[in-house]
Parts: sequence; C-alpha cells; structure tokens
Amino acid sequence: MTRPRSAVHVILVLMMLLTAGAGACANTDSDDSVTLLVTDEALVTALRDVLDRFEQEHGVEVIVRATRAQDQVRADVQSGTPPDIAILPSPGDLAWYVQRQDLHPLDEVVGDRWLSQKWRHLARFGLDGLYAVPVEVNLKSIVWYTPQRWTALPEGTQGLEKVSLTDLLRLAPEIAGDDSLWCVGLASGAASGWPGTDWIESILLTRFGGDTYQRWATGRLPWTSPEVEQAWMIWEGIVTDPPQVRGGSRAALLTDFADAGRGLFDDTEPGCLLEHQASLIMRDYQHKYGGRPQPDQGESQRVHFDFVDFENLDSTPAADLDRRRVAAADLAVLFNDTEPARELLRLLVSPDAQEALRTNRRFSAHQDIAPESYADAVSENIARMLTADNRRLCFDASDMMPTTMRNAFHRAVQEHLNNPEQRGQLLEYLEQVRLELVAQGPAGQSRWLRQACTP
Amino acid sequence: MTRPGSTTVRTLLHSGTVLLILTMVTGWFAWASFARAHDTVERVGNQTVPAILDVAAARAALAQADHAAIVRFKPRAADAGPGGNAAYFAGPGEEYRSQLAIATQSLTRAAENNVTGAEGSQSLRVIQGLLTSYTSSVEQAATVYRENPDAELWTADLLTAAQLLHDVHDELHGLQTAQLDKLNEEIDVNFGGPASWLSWLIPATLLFGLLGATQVFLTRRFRRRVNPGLLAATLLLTGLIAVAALIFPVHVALDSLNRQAQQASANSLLQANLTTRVSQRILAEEIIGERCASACGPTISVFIAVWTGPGSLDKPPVAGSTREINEKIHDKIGEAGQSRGAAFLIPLGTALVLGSIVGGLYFHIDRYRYRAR
Repeated sequence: MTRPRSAVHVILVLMMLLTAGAGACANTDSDDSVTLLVTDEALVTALRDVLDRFEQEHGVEVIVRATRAQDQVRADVQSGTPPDIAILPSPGDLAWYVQRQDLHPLDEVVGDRWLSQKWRHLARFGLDGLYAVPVEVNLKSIVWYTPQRWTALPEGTQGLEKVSLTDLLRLAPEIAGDDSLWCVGLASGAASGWPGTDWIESILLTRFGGDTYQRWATGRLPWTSPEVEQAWMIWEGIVTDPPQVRGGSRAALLTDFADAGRGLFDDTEPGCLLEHQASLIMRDYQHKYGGRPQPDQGESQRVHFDFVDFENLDSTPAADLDRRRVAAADLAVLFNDTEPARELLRLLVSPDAQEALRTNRRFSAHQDIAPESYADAVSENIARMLTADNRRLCFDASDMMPTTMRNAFHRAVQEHLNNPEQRGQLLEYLEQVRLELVAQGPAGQSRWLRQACTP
Repeated sequence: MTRPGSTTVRTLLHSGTVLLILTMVTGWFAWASFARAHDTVERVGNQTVPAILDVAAARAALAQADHAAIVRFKPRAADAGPGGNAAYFAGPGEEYRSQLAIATQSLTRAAENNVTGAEGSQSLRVIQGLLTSYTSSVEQAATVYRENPDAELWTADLLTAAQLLHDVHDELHGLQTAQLDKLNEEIDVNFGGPASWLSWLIPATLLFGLLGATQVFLTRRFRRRVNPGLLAATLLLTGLIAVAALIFPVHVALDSLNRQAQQASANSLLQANLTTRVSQRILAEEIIGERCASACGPTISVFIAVWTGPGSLDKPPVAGSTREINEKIHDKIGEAGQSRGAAFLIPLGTALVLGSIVGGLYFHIDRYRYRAR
C-alpha cells in the first residue's frame, strides 16, 4: 500500500518540475514599446529626462531612432514598417500620407487648444484635420549680426532698440574692412542647399508679399514665373559677388551651414558681418564660438549677437505689403494609433516637454511657454515673433513642398551657385518637377499642401 | 510489538520512491540542460554569429567601396585635362560597385538573421536609407565631374558622401555592438551559469549517495553483497552523467566562438577605420587640397586638418586576417555541435536507471510482503 506521505512528495516534486519547465519556456518579452523616429538626435537628448520619466511611469519602452537620411520616414512607410511616431523636419509629404491614410488625425489625441493662436492655423496646412503638431518651432527670415562689430551703429543701440537690415546694409561699407558682408554655408549632408532655399524664400516673401509666397509654396505658382525668377536673380547677385560672400561661391558650397557663422565671431582672420539663418543657429553660436545673446541692458561685448528682420533687398522701395515672417517646425505625426503612442505624443506636446525644450534653448509654439520665460532678450524676441506678436507667419516654402520637389529645389540651389548661367534651365527643370507632382495625386488630388500662411 | 517486515517494507518503499524521484529530476534537468546547450549552439551558429560576420563584412566592404570611388577622383596629373581622372570616363568604377554589392548582400543577410529585435530591424532600415543617399551623392559627384571637372559641386558631393558614410558606420557600430551583446547573453545567460549544470549535478550526487546507502541497507538486511538492480542503476547513472557532462566542452567551444566573433568584429572595425583614414586623406590632401589652394571656408579647413594630420595612411590594410578568423569560427561552430546526436542517450539512460531501480528494489518489497503475511 502506497503511503500518503510518499504520494505527497511525488506530487510536490512533479509540481516543481512543471514550474521549472514552464519557467524555462516563459516568454518575458514585453510588447509595450513605442518607436520614435527623428532626424535631430539633439532634440531627443533635450527631452531625455522627460522620456525617461515617461518610460518609468507608463512601463513603456521608447525606442528612438535618429537618422540624417531625410527620406527615411517615407521609405519606412512605403515598405510597410513606419515608426509609431515620427518627428518630421518638414510637412511636405503630409498630403501624400493623408491621401494614403497612413496618418492618424490628432484632433482627438492632442487637439490644438494648447497651441498659440498663430500655430493653430498654421499647423493644419489646409488639410481636413490636424495631422501634425509642432514639437519645436524656429524663426527664419532673420539676419544675425554682432552689434559691437558695427562701430558705426548709433550709440546705445542694443537689445530691443532694433536697427534694421536696411540700416546695416547702409553702414556696412564703413566698417567692413577685410570682412565680407555675408556668411553663407550651403552644405548640410543629404539636405545640402537648404540655406540657399531659405534665402530665396525670404527674398520672394519680402519682395512680393504673402499671397504670392503662398501660391508658390503650395505649388500654384510656376517656377518660371517672373516673381520666382527675380527672387533667384536677387540671390544670385548677392552670393556670386565675391566681396559680398566670405570665400566666394566656392566657400559657400563647401561650408557647412553650422560653420558659416564663425566669421561673425572670429577675429583671427577676415570674417563676415551678417548671416541669414534660422533661430536654431543660436545654439551653434553659443556652443561653438562662445557667442552670447545680446543683453537687453548692460554693456554690449564682442561676443554678443543679435538679429534683425529680413527686408526687401531689391532696390525698388518696399511696398507696404502685409509684412510676414517665415517660420519652420519639427512636427510630430502618428502612424500607428496605439495607446502608448498616443500617450507619448501627448507627452511631446505637454508643458513639461515643451519647458524642457525651452531650457535647452529651443522654441515652442505652446501657449503656456511665455516669451518672457526665455533666458535672454534675443530669445524672448524670437519667441514673441513666433507666437505672440501681430505679424503673420508663413511656413518655410521648401519644407511645404513634396519631398521630390524639395530635393530638386535643394539641388538646384547648389547647381545655381556652381554655375549661375544655368539659372533658366534650372527653373525650367524645377517647373517640370512641379507639373509632374501636380498630375500625380490619386483621383485628381494634389500632393501639395494647401495653406502656407496664417490668414 | 513492531513487525520487522513492516519497517523494512516501509524503508524500501520510501527509498525506492525517493530514488525514482531523484532519477526523474536528474534525467529531466540533464536533458533540459543538454538540449538548451545545443539549442544555443544552433541559434548562435545559424543566426547570431552569421549576422555578426555579415555586419562586419558590410562594414569592411563599405570602407573599401568608398576608397575605390574616391581614388577614381584623384587627379592624375596637373595637365591631364578634362579626362584627368578615372571618374571622368566611368564614374566611381567597378570596384566601388562590387564592394557596394558585397555590403548590400551582407546587410540583407544580416536582416534575415536579425537577432536584435525591433531595434535591429530599424537600425538596418536606417542604414539602408543612408546608403541610398550615400550612393546618390557619389553618383552625382561623378555626373557633375563629367560635365565640368572645374566645378566645386562634385567636391561638395564627395564631402556629403563622406558625411553620410560616417553616419552609416556609426549605425553599423551600434548594430554590431547590440549583436555582440546578444551573443554574450545567449551564451552566458541562457547557458553559462552554474544553474545549468548544478540543476542535474546536485540531484545526481544525491542519487549516487542514496543508491549507495540503499545498497548498504540491503546488504545488511538481506545479507546479500550487491543488489544487481541498484548496481546496474549506479553504472547507468554514471553513463548518463557522462553524457550530460558533454555540455562542458560545448560551453568551452561557445566561449571560444564568442571570443572569435568579437575578434572578427574588432578586425573589421579596424580595417574599416584604417581604410577610411586612407580614403579621407586622399580626399582632403590630393583632391580638395589641390583645388583649395586659397580659402574654401572653415569646414574645409577643419576637414583637411583632421585627415592630413599625423597618423595619415597611404594604403588600406589587406583583408587576409579576417578570412582566417571567419574560417576558425565556422570550424568552432561545427565542433560545438558535435555531441548533439548523443541527446537521446539521456532519456534512454534515465528510463534504464528507473527500470533498474524498480527491478532491484521492488522484487525485495514484494518478496518481503509475501513472507510477512
């Protein structure tokens, strides 16, 4: 007769064996992860603490991929493996994604009530719904200078007492010496040429106004139109004139956009006096050259930098057009609508995350990030121009364009600098690309976005 | 008064039960450990190590491709005219395309054998995107050069290509690091810890001890020298342990394989770095330096200073040592999997041990029960 205690021993051991076997086979992988694709790794670095807290609080792993391959998102979408969330450097392919139903609308996910008034309109790009939200914004169509170098400026001119670009151009010959007028750098990896497109955009906007600019940015103005050609000619007149550009067009082609501004601060060799560049360049001025934003009060020093609005450079007196500024944004979009992805998206546009960006010298379109909260007068001015003052904004035109058009524009700018005599051929080529894109949309829909400027 | 037969039966039953349980536990864990060891060998040999070697091969091939392309743009002579370098006639050339094809095929295989999960897949997609941009820049440089050798734009395109390839190498490095970490994990975590062999060695030791103690008990109680069944069980158990212990040479082989895979990776990294230094020096000194006698801007100044400083190289290394290591790795994979066929001996041995114990003990139990009645 089997003793009960032996039977209990057997059962207990068998249970142990089963547990051990089950443990050996257990799958401990978690499915709670969100993939986030970015083209600016430094943006993720600025948000690192916020993302770490998010991972701990939600038990969700945020898998970040950073790449400088500008077309990575489109390639991933076409191969059927999009990230859950992407932070796009430009909205140009939004219309295409929306037509293919690749993107999920964000009206119910984050909405737009948190955005400052200007950006509530701008972020829609004329689409039926909100598909992209700005994580970081930047001001373009501005020109940087170092006030102390401009010894001919009226005494006491600093901070909010702005000079104008017209003033600076008028005073430049007095102080230039061996310096060139403009610092220009077009190199930027696979996106080389974009600083040149910024120039043409600023010229076209200030010369011909917001309506013409919007038509161009949304694919309704031919590249061969007189307005576009004149903008190119004005830019050509600047950048191919050796005394105007430090190192000439050769240096402009071979200089990285982040290196061009060295000439504003470097006194060891001939430099340059002005740089047409977006507000993001402030970080390079500070980290690479020891520059500091011009204080609102107190004595200006050699390292201090400030900016002015870009103005109409044409000799024709500027018409009293509705003056606008150019802005750009890194935009978050949602490809895979999962709860963790929604939570991450909400985090990216939350006051916490936007505050983290502000402390990292990045600009926010969040209405709770007040311009006065920025650390210096220059940043405060930029923030005010981006969100709070009454001058209207237009989105960067090349960023608005479908990727094919934008890439062609970038390349054409480089080719133009390389050989200005090709201007006519280049514009015809660009026009060809525009027409092909207009014809390509499914069921007659255009691949172009419809709205580039605030009303 | 206690009936001596009852005590003996109880002792024999108790011992028999524990012997059977210990035999099953030993057999189960010995088999699980053996199977896990060889599963690790199979996974490592068929997936992880090939993926590591493929990424290493891609890294080296890309550096070679870039070198081959850049060399094509070297000016032959100051007065050589428009056809002054090989790129004018045939662009970046066959060696560039051939090495690029090797790199692409290696990366495709690495994607098929991806062992680093979603992150690895994404990394490979990023690499593919960057490579597309890189090849576009190289081809553009050749096109522009053919149209106008004096143009600066092709130089700018080569610099763009250099920057993109740098990003590719960064991604490959990250991917390779993740793969090597995975290999470490598969060998150490899944297999290398003490639990993998203590789980059967401890019950086996207890089993040996109890077999011996039971032999002694039977000898004293029944005045027999040796119980044949228990003796057979002891010998069979020894054989079973000997088979289970074959995981130790497997572990040694896997450790060696791990070191060799690390070496292959380090070799390819060194080769790629050295080749890159050569090609970037050519670009900085012989191509750009020739054209930028006067200032070409701060970016070029820094580029030339970095790549023409001390330690510049003239010739890329030869890939021979990498081939030798790859051959050793394949031999080691074969060696590690040699004992796989012996796996069936463990459950067979366990069954035979069980049968021997039953035969050796329960004969006495039955006999004693019968006598006691």
